Amino acid sequence: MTRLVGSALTLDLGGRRIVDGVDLQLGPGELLGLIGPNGAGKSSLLRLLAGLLEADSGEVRLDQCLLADYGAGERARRIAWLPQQAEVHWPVSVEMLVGLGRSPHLGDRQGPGQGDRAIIEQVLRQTGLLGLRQRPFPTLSGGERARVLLARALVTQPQCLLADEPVAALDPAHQLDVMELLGDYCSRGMGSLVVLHDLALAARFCSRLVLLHQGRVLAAGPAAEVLTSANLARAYGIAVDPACLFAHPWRRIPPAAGPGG
Amino acid sequence: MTIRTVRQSTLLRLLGLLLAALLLLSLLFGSQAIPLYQALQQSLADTPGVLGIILTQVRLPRSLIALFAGASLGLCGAVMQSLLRNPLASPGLIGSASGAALGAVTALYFGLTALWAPLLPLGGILGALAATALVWLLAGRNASVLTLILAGVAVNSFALASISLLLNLAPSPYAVQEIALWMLGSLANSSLDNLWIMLPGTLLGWLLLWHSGRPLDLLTLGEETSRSLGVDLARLRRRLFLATALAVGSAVAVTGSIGFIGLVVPHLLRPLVGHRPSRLLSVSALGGACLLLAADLLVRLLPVQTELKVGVLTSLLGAPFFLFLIVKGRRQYP
Repeated sequence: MTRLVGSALTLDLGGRRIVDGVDLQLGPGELLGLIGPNGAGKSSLLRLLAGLLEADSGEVRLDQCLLADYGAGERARRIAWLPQQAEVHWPVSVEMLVGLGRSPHLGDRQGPGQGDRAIIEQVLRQTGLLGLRQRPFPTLSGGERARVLLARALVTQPQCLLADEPVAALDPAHQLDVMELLGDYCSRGMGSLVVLHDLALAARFCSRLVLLHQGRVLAAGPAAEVLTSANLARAYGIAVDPACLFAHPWRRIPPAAGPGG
Repeated sequence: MTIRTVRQSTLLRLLGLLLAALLLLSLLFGSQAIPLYQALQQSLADTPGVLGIILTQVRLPRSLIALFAGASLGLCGAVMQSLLRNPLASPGLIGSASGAALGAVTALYFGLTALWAPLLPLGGILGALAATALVWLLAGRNASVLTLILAGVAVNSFALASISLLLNLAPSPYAVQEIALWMLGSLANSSLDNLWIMLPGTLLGWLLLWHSGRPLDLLTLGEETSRSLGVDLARLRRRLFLATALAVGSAVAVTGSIGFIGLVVPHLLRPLVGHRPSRLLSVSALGGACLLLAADLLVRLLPVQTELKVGVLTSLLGAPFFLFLIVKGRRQYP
């Protein structure tokens, strides 16, 4: 059973066709990688699936019902969207920002309850942010900011997470952490659509890949079928030996043997 | 570096106490200090004495108008800054203040006040609603923040130009003086009538702001993310615009333009609430009321020949203070 389905999605912006007849299915528990060169329409596709943009033709369905028919609150509880650019306007604390992700579950005047606080606490721990909880957002590094915004999306506990380059600003170890964390959430039923530029990372962690090129789906399926020399040459204009992509070059050193013990 | 905040309840209690103290002082002191007990006794008597009349007809309306107008300015300043995510936004940015001034000045120009005094503030409220509606229409339904600000600037300039035109065409020097002095912003002509006229719009505006804390918090993450978290942005904007037009319009219509309170108060209090928009609202309302009451008290007590207009004083003190805040903030977040 698929949960989030986009059918024949087309989007024109400023006289240009950005997304051109894309079909995409995201099932529960799936970690789906969305790859493609800059300007291929990945972020716009994510916005369409999140209900932030309206498609010129085609439709998005969530659990068989049209996404547009969901109330804003219900949609926000089911789908979390993580934009590419961090946009935070006041120097508020990490804890407050992450807590905002619980808002769709709260009543109008109701503050976060014990259950909400436990979830926030758990996600702060999983994203390694416990020590930063009182820090103002502008004082964080780029990678720390990216983790805070990911944590904000995770505390919503959505059925579907649409994440636009969540690991782009992260160091290698944190890239592994975040991908493993997403895999962990997916193993418990969340469906994730993740935009990635690191093809080796995508090959290693994603259950399926969708390769977007000039607004169209060039290839979709298991990594081995999508990451072929021909596809990569056509989409990116690069010559790659696919074998290299399937040997992701780093592993985490087990803690006991790590530097400084 | 961590964020240190004062507990919200403590902050509200302190500001509440300050407000009560200032209200009491505002009732007791003025061109003449009055003994409260005696004045109260007189005002409750069948034929109220001079002190009683001063208390109920002059001091009480003046103090309450200062309280309501100051609170509206502080509250709407915080709302506008949070909605537009711009610490330089003032409550009048979207036309409410200049529209109210134009409406009131129009009433003065055509001598409507001679027919019926309340036409002045009523014209002001109408002007505020019209100017805000115009900004709304000019900017369009899904306007960016920049478009909204530009539309606000355009409407404000037009309203101020229209006021200049009316001054230019004024039939007599007295009319010019009347209009110019009204524009400076003062609580000296506060009457119970004015209080009753400003109250409905003010309270309705405040009511519309009820429950707007959560969406303003979510706007911290930007407009698109806040929409993905369930905020109906167009509806929120419409509600906050109407609230600001009503509350600020009612205040300006009765007091004239009083600058800097809506800008400085949220700015000053924001660090104390950890920069969180939802917590800033009630705190800014109390802070604005305190500041306008204090400024009006100062105006009454300054030993000068002509009583200063309170709008002149707030701008005179507000501008350098604002500069000080900017210079101080420059070091915090480079």
